[in-house]
Amino acid sequence: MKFEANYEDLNIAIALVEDFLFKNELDNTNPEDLKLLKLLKAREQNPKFEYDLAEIICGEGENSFPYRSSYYLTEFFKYLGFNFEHDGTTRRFWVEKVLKQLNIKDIAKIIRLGLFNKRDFRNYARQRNKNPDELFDSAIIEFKNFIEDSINTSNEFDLALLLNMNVNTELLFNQQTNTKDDELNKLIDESKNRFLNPIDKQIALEKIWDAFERVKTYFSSDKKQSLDILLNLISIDIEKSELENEFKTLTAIGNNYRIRHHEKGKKELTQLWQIEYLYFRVLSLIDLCIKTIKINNN
Amino acid sequence: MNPKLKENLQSLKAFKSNLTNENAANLITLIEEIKKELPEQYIIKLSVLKFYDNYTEVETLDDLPF
Repeated sequence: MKFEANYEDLNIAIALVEDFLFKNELDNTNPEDLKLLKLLKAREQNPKFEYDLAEIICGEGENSFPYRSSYYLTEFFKYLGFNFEHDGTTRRFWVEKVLKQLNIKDIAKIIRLGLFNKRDFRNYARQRNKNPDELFDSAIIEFKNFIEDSINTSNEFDLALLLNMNVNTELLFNQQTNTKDDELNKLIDESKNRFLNPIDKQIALEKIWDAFERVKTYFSSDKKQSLDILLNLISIDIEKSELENEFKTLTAIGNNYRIRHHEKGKKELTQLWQIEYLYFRVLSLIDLCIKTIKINNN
Repeated sequence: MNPKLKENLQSLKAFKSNLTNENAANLITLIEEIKKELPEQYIIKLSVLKFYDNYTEVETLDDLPF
């Protein structure tokens, strides 16, 4: 059995280590280094970065870049000072392998001096009877898209979209209420359970409104004094007056509609989505209060 | 910054002139050392590389084919 060293993969390993060292040494306040860092980010994020760039260099597919045959690919790299000779294999795979062996500074050189060489665009446009400037401009746009797509390649897709769920809503529902006020905890948890049953939404709304009234007295049986403490506590970024208005508005809604009081003359809520709107509006405010109370150790 | 990795890079480059069956084990050890200094995405790319074909690891004389 004959031992065969694979120097191409050794070069790839060297380029990888060099890239990582460059990444840590480049200065992101220097415009030239910043360009390299963006290119490196595209390389890191896109597992097919070299393959995609190889297609561009070969002028394959529908892109606007000059087509390069086997001979011109070898010339392309030689002109830039890289001693690679096309071995007759499929052009894009060969170029991909070459690019993998080069560190990010070399890749930048290839793009700057080789890929956007105007002479190549002029010759190619003449052969194809095309306008070289238009070809050059569309090549720039295509290259920008390639970089942006590379950077966004590894963006995770939000599963919530596929599962048809609203993560904030689920979080609001899944947490157990755990304040020092057992009655408040019971009201909120029962309300949430009721809300999950479509025929119990009206009762859920009534329960959450009871919880809303209850949270106002969390700090004292004197509702006004307790609410003032609560408002001071929750007004961190949002103005106290804004939150005070929200409390007043919701209190008025609770009194004017058939939520807390069932006398004749109270406006009835007949549409499910109107009930849901009020439910989440008041639950969100209660959630804000409870979270803040918890942060302040009850 | 990261002198150990820089040193390992120089050692890695040294293999460019001389990668043989005898020192292939040293290269494997060096790559494992380098991996410790790199983030995951770089390790993944390093892990798929194959630096030799038909490398034979001989541990004892009994392993020899005679």
